[in-house]
Amino acid sequence: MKNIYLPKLAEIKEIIQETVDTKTVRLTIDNGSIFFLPGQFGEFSFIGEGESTFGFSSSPLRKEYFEFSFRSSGRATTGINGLNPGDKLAFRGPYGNHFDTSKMKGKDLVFIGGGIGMAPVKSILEYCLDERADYGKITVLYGARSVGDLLYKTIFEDWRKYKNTDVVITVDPGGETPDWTEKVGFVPTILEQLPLKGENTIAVVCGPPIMIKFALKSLEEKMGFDKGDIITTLENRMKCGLGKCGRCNVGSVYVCKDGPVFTAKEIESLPDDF
Amino acid sequence: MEEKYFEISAEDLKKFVDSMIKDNFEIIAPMDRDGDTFYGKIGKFDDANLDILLPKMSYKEYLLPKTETLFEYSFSGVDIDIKDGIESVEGKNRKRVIFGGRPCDAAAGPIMEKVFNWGYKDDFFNERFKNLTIVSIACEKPDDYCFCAEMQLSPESSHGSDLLLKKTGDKYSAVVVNDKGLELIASYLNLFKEIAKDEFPPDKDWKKIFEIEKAKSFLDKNFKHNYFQDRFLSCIGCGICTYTCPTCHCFDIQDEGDMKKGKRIRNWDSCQFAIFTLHTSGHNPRNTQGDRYRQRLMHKFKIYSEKFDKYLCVGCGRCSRNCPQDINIKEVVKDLTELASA
Ligand SMILES: Cc1cc2nc3c(=O)[nH]c(=O)nc-3n(C[C@H](O)[C@H](O)[C@H](O)COP(=O)(O)OP(=O)(O)OC[C@H]3O[C@@H](n4cnc5c(N)ncnc54)[C@H](O)[C@@H]3O)c2cc1C
Ligand code: SF4
Ligand code: SF4
Ligand code: FES
Repeated sequence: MKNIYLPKLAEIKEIIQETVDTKTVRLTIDNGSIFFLPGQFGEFSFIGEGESTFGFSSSPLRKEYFEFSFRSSGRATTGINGLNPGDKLAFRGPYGNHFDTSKMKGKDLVFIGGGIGMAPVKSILEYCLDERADYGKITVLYGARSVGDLLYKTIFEDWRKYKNTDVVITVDPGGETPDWTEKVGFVPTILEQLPLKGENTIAVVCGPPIMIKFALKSLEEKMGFDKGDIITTLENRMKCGLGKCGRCNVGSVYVCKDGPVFTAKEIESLPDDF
Repeated sequence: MEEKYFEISAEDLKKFVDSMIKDNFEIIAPMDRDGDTFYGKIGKFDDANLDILLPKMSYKEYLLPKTETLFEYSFSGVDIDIKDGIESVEGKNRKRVIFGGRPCDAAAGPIMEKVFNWGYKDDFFNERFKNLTIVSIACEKPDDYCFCAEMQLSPESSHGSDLLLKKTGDKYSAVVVNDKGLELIASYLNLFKEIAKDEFPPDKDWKKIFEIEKAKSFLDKNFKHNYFQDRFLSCIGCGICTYTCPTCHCFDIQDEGDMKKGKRIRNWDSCQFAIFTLHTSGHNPRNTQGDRYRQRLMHKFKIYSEKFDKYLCVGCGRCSRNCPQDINIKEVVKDLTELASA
């Protein structure tokens, strides 16, 4: 007899205030990480305020801890927002499928993230950086509405230290500050200016639905990417993460079990229910 | 186990039930009170009303309670104490029998069991299901809302029952479907008379007014179709159809309590509510009641059957009988079969 809804308790080691409303929480269970793969997600909660679904944002190869990043928006996230290092956080998971790194090995990679969607991208990006020799050229394109909305500002330079790795950061027009030295422009616009070709390259795209829509269009129609080489995630509302509660399906696909990672080709065959 | 056949008089059936109650079985049977009909715990055989065609609510709540505690919590400083709810699954150690339920309700159990066991196993459901013995009574006169025959069952189907009774005059013929059924009557065998298989009354030829496969073939090809938006304009999204349905199983998980102690519970939820799929960003994949009723149809007649090979509907007709807007699923599914041929 087993209770699949019973969470484990993890200890908060560190909290990073990324933006006004977004934080990254670093956790340990028995002073270590848990076994997960990039792209998977968990159900996190400050018990008493309900569970929330978040993707992991750290590389599973960094085994001392695991991380997620969240934006305060409702009851559960406000609950987590009130916690401090040393406090306990309840956690269930990992759930769902993951990015298929075997398919990415030996290829050039382009990681495209928008807003909080950069969280799962960071997990797979840092996983690939941790095993840098296994992959070809890596290009990172990350955009947010404004400079103040950018997550992970302190680690862009770490990513840039790896060889054959380009990191392009952009903010929406009007979101720049006077001392801003990086790009200004919407993600799809900047994407089309990058020296990328669809050959031997895998693209990972996560962000708000509108960004995904236009980024996929650019990749497929203007840059010659094959739909099977573009990987993205769906973020339907979830409760159980276990294929029981019945709310995350898109047609016959249960995002919590069959996803959240899908190729653009798989998404194309789904009914318009997301 | 091979099926076994028996006969029992109406008088002895009463004795059978009253003896089980005396032997500490918890008997859940169709009852009525103040014009309301439901499955409830009886104190004696005469508390049950076996003339009710189908109680308003199914006995789903004995498998998946309206609300159930997943765990309890209490805080002391930063430490959290968690008490696992699975230890106290209500009904776990009880000898619980559903007596006099209908074949459609019995068929719903195994249908839900699949959902609660693909991939991860939900032992809250499993423990309850395991400890439930189901004694059904075949229907003699289904009403216009019923369509169990169309749903690959029949008013006399024994699917999902451990013991099925059929009324023949002032006697009942009984088929014991499995070991659970045999175990139940083992102590009361003196009340039953074993008969040969060919003495058991054969099933009547129940007519079907549509072929369900046709409805599926329409759903396979038509996610976007005006029918859904037009037909369900009158739906007010109250969710009654899903709450009264014996196979609808979607749930919500919520925390209830304060900063000191409380519990995490799961409650029945409904795909007919707008907030069911509402994203935090405000985006909602199912924005209209048409989208939401389409999901109900898709889940029942396409999605479930693709995953598990049967349908997520037993044709009990409750969702139609109880709909305040008179939306009749039997007519709707018939429409789909006609649209498929159109
Ligand atoms: C696979 C996946 C990965 C995700 N990864 C991340 C991630 O890495 N980072 C991240 O920040 N987010 C992520 N999300 C989104 C995240 O799960 C939600 O933003 C989060 O659960 C919101 O939680 P909440 O409980 O605080 O909000 P809720 O309290 O659930 O509220 C969310 C919104 O819905 C409204 N609402 C909720 N309930 C009701 C109600 N009963 N009536 C009316 N309105 C209501 C609220 O007003 C609020 O605006 C992910 C989602 C999925 C599915
Ligand atoms: S019971 Fe009727 S009105 Fe209520 S949600 Fe169901 S179909 Fe709509
Ligand atoms: S969908 Fe309607 S007819 Fe089918 S099982 Fe549920 S309540 Fe009964
Ligand atoms: S989140 Fe519950 S079924 Fe997918």
